Amino acid sequence: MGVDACRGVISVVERGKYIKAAVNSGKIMQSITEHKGCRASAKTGRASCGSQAGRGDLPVEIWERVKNHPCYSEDAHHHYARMHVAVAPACNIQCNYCNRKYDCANESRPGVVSEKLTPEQAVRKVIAVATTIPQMTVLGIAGPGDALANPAKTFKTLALVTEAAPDIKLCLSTNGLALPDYVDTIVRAKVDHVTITINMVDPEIGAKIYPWIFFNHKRYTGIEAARILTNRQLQGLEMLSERGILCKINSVMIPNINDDHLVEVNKAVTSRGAFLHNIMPLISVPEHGTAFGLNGQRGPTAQELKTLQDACEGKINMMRHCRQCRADAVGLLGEDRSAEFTNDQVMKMDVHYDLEMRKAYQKRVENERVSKVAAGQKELAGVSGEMSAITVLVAVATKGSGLINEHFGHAKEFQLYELSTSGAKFVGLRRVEGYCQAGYGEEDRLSVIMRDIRDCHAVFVAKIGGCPKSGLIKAGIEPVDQFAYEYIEKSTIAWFRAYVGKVKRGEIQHVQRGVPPRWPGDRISAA
Amino acid sequence: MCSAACPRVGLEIGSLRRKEEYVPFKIIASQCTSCSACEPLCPNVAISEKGGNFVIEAAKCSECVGHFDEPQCAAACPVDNTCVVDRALPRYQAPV
Repeated sequence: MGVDACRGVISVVERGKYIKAAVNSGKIMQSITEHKGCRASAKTGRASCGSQAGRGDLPVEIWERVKNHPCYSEDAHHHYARMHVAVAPACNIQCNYCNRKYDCANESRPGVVSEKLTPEQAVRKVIAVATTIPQMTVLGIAGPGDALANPAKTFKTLALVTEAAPDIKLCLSTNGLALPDYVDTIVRAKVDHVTITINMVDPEIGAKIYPWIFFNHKRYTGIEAARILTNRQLQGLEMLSERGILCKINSVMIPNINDDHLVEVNKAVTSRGAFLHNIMPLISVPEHGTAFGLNGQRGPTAQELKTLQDACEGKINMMRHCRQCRADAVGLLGEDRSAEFTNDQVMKMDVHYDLEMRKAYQKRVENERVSKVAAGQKELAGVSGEMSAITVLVAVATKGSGLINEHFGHAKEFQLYELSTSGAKFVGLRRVEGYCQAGYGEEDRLSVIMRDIRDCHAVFVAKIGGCPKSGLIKAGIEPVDQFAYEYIEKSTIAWFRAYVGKVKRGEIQHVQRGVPPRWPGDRISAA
Repeated sequence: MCSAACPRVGLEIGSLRRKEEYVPFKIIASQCTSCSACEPLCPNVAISEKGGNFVIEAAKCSECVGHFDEPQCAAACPVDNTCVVDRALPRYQAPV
């Protein structure tokens, strides 16, 4: 106990040191806009003003660096878009969940791209996207291999983009094997955010995930390979944290291999200054041809994933809005517009970088964001006086901008909000059509959705047809369409207020909904 | 044993070849993902991209003997049995 407490203190002190480094770096890298009219909520003590919504307890300087980054800020992902350019096809390790040979245009998962680009083609694409989607604020290099296994292409692309589009934030993601060698280059390239995929800190577990690595001109296998990899990953993370670069850690949750162990990973990365931890479910189907897909390794259920994320929540923020996107994804996190920007199309476009237009557009986005938060706060003020222990889960169909603006029949995913008297909290996603489900009829699709959101009390949509409406009601899920094109927080809280009122008056009885579905697609597992 | 002492580890054990002769590697095009991992690793600059596929120029391939412990292209290749030795190809003659 004493030892544990002591460790806790050390890790807090260390984390403080890294936050300081990040703050200092933020001061250098970015001017800090002043925020006026902030007030702290009496209930949580957290600042709650305008565009600082979703800031939580982040220092202002760090919030300024993440608030327009759709991956680093949950609130930002409703409003801002990102893009990946596939300039890094080579990789220096093999993972049992990855097979880069397979490419299906309808498929979204890491390691998949439709075409690879040269740095010159990539920068042209960045400008084309930045003009067409002015809320695109972040460029990432995420493969399809490893960004740092292709250093020449990666850093050339970053340099060209910095020159052509200086307002775009730069990111890269890596498995960490080559990371310690490139920390200085990353800092010089003005990369502000780095994602490291860390699935283990125990080589024995690592040997079950990584069949081999290629390091120092040699192929290593087994425990030796995993030991080298974990040492390099943690060393790289420490070095980046000391330089004030914000690090997100991605971990793939693989049941019976690293699921319990990820709590240890969470502690290890937190103490080394990681900023955000993203635990993602293993995607594993035989069609992808991955080792795990072929040997029948299952992915976690939605409940298993959420339980693990909840267990790790606390000292570090957990990312729950990850879409596990392709290495050539374009657009808001929930949408993929990469098909509009193939190399052929980009070559035909008349590309011209208009910084002023982008700034003006982003100002409008920011105003919208402020009014969204204000509306939510106002609604929340009405409910916070109520004393109720009720919490309910609701699903929302949205295309972005923080609005309920998607038709039930068109929704490819539903965002889940947990409603209570303290407000509406984003808790996750349910994809209903993420992977190849060709051949499903309309009726089947409805039953798939109802199964996927069976733990929700209501589903908020912009529009819904008569048939699915009665089907949902029969299943005990209330279809709510009276808040069409209104803000999510405000609407869900208003609905929750009415719900609690009805329960109090005895008009309805509050019952807990069923077990959440498995992930993905509710397959029956052997385990 | 001569094969244990031989710098060309693991290859052609038991068959004695002239030191200057090497078995070149080739890439099986139908399996290659064109990831380019092999290309910058080749000490002889024998690998290049041709029409979307990576190919090894057999006349330049020396199995990395004298440069590295193992053939770099095969060690880095992500697809099993894709970067393989090809005995049908003409052999590299080390510059005298």
